[in-house]
Amino acid sequence: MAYYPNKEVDAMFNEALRCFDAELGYIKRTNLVNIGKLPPWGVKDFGTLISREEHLGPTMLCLFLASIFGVINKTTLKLGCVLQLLDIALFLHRKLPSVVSCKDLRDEIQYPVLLGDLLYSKIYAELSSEELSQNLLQVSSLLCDIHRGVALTEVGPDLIEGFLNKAACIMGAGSVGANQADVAHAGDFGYQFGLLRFKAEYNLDYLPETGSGWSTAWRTLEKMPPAQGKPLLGNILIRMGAALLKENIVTLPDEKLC
Amino acid sequence: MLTGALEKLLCEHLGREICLVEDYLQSNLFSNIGDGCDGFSMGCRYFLASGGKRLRPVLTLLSARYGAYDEERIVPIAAALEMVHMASLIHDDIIDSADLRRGKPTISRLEGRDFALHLGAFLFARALTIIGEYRNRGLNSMLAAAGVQMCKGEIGQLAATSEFSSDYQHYFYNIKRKTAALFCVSCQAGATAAKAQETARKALAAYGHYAGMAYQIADDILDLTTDEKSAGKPVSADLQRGTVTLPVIYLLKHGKRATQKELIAMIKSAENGSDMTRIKEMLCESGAFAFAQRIAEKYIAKAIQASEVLPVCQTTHLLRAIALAIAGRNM
Repeated sequence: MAYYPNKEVDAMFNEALRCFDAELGYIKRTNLVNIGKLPPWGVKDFGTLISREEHLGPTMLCLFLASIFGVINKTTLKLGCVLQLLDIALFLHRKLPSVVSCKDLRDEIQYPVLLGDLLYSKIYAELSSEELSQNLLQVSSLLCDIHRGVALTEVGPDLIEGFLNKAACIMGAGSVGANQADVAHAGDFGYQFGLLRFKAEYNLDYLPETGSGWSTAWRTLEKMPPAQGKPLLGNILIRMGAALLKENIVTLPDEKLC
Repeated sequence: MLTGALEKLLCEHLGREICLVEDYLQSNLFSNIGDGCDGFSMGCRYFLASGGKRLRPVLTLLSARYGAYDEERIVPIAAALEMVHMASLIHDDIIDSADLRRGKPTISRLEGRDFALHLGAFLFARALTIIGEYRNRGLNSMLAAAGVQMCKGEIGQLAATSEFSSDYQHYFYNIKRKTAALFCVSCQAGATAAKAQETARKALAAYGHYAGMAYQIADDILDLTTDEKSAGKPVSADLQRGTVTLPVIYLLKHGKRATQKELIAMIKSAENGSDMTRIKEMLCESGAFAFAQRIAEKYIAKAIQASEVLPVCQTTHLLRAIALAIAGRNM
């Protein structure tokens, strides 16, 4: 199945990324330095991947959730780095072409496999540090579920987005010391948000479960403490809902979420 | 799973633990992931049943004996190291487009590249989960660092292939990362988990490193000298994809100019299945195999030397026997 991104949704996310310009710039630079020098290979060159905004979705959510439950700190930024690498690794490992010419073997097969593996190893190395070690089991279990699920065709790209965004929200809320119940809410929000984002971004058909997922995401967002980033997330949710229904929904006033 | 002369010795002294590792692999890879009958479990089962020397778990189990040996604690770690090794083999087969492994069709050949890719990534993540459950940051870091090294070694080798150039320094740099790193960590992890003394940990890490270097050199010699049936995988595969290993580097550096030119021309056309027999003859006549074998033996000597600080006991004797077997690959 081919997916064609919805440019409006794409633009909306790019706009949201601007809220964290400084943090995201730091995260991209840190990842480039940490991975070190790699041979350049085609469009999947690491530098190119790092600079792309499409791999910053989970990182952005992590920053949003951290800013809702507290103040973004060093741990949040380190987790943001991990999440960008995770998104790129999953992109590289998502699908390999079944037929490939000898000429394209390096770019299409060898490099994505090896670079994806290298990123996973780097992610685990980062998560082994004292500051981040409490997230290691969450990420390794997440990757077990994703890779097993994808191999068995039980997990599609929408669920991957859901799992990844769930992890991002848990990490973001956890990094600023949110309590267990809040972290769990953040995870529920992230999961639904990820599913909705995938559906909206790729113009998938509106189904009844899409509506209930949207409501869950909205309710969990409402339960979060008032914060500057909250109305923006709410606005994104509304616009994603509109994109999914393929009709305009009147934007709810920001105060409702503050 | 070990074969040959060493098998008897290891079975006698380590047989039960090796079986426990095997059981752990079986139970962990099947029972925890569904009913054991799905395609994924079948893939794991197929790979496990296709054998392997289980050398890395053996090194972990032996290294743990230099500390407070606790079977329940060490067996999962040994199994996790084998999972990392299995993951790397599955991904290597994708990268090399290999059809055979241990005499059987590869997973990527049987189930497709995508399935193999996710199986490998799952095994690596599973290994990290097992190690992560020990809440020992030292162990986590070791395994993650070994993963980084292995990938960097493979990437380095691939880059050298594209440039069709390699020298001794690059070759040793790459094999240190792609093979010796996991041997070293297999020993370190066992010693660390058993809280062995610092002297023993360092000695075991050095032993693992040198044994791993020798193992890869011996493997590279075998790739050029053995036949497909004995190897259980396609032979001369390195040359056919333009990867130059130690014997070839020797000939390119020290062979007669005419031979060097002939070799380069032949390697460039090697992927079309050109005269591999002639290439092997040239390598043999130039003394390239003998040179590579001598280097492997030097590494084995260093591994044995590293083990000299360890107590004189049956375990140290077994480590030395493994090192000697690696040099001859008479396992």
